[in-house]
Amino acid sequence: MEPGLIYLTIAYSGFFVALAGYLYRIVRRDAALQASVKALEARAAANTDEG
Amino acid sequence: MTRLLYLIVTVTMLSAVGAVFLLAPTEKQMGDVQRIFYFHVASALAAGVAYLLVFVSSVWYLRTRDDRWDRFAGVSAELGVLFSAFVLFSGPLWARPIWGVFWRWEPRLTTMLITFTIYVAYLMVRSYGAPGERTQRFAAVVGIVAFVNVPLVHYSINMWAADQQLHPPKVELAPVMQQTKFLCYFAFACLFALLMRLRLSQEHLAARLQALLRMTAHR
Repeated sequence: MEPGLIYLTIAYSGFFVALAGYLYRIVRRDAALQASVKALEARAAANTDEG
Repeated sequence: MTRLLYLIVTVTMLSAVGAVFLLAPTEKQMGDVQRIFYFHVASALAAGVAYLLVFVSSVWYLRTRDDRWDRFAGVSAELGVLFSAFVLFSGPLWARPIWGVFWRWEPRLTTMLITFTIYVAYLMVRSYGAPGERTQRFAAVVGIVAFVNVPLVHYSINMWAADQQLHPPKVELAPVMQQTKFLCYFAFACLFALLMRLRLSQEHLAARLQALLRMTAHR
């Protein structure tokens, strides 16, 4: 395999791996944030009911 | 809307990769490695747009003191750093077989690295500064001042002597190569819009969580 093709492969696979990693990080953090917001909202609603 | 954007990004990215590898002809002097050009330049353009958005939203934050502009600036800077990182990663890979070295301290590369470093510092200011208006104001000022470097990257080819340059002042492309380049620009614009939307909605959610936490703490 010629060196140019190796560098080309590294560049494009690097791009897509980084993009997939970034998207995965966004999705994971989003799920964690949504769960926290839901839990807090439920707690706030329960407190209001008790009050 | 987000699902539609995901679909558009998938289709345009696949088309762009297809065009880069199957449609665009092999460049005669550089060979296949020249195909790095398409994503390299599209990334640089996306980073430039992101930094312009940091500048505009920072100015707007200082005028209005609206937190949404501060969040917009932060997300834009993050995307700018992401795309710049790819430019700085793919550039040396392209340079190695053509120039014989991964890196040269020539004007375009040096100014790009400086710009990248400044925006990383901007993100650090946002992350490590105490939460509140003071950090937001300081970040906005850094976001405005940092933008001075962006036109410097673009015009570095004309500003320094020709014997110090390795980047060509103008790139002549065959029509099919031009079309591939514009398809990549479009794919990157769609990707940029998707990432912006995802991160902004996430920042909005984080702000809501902070507000809820403050509310429960006061009770």
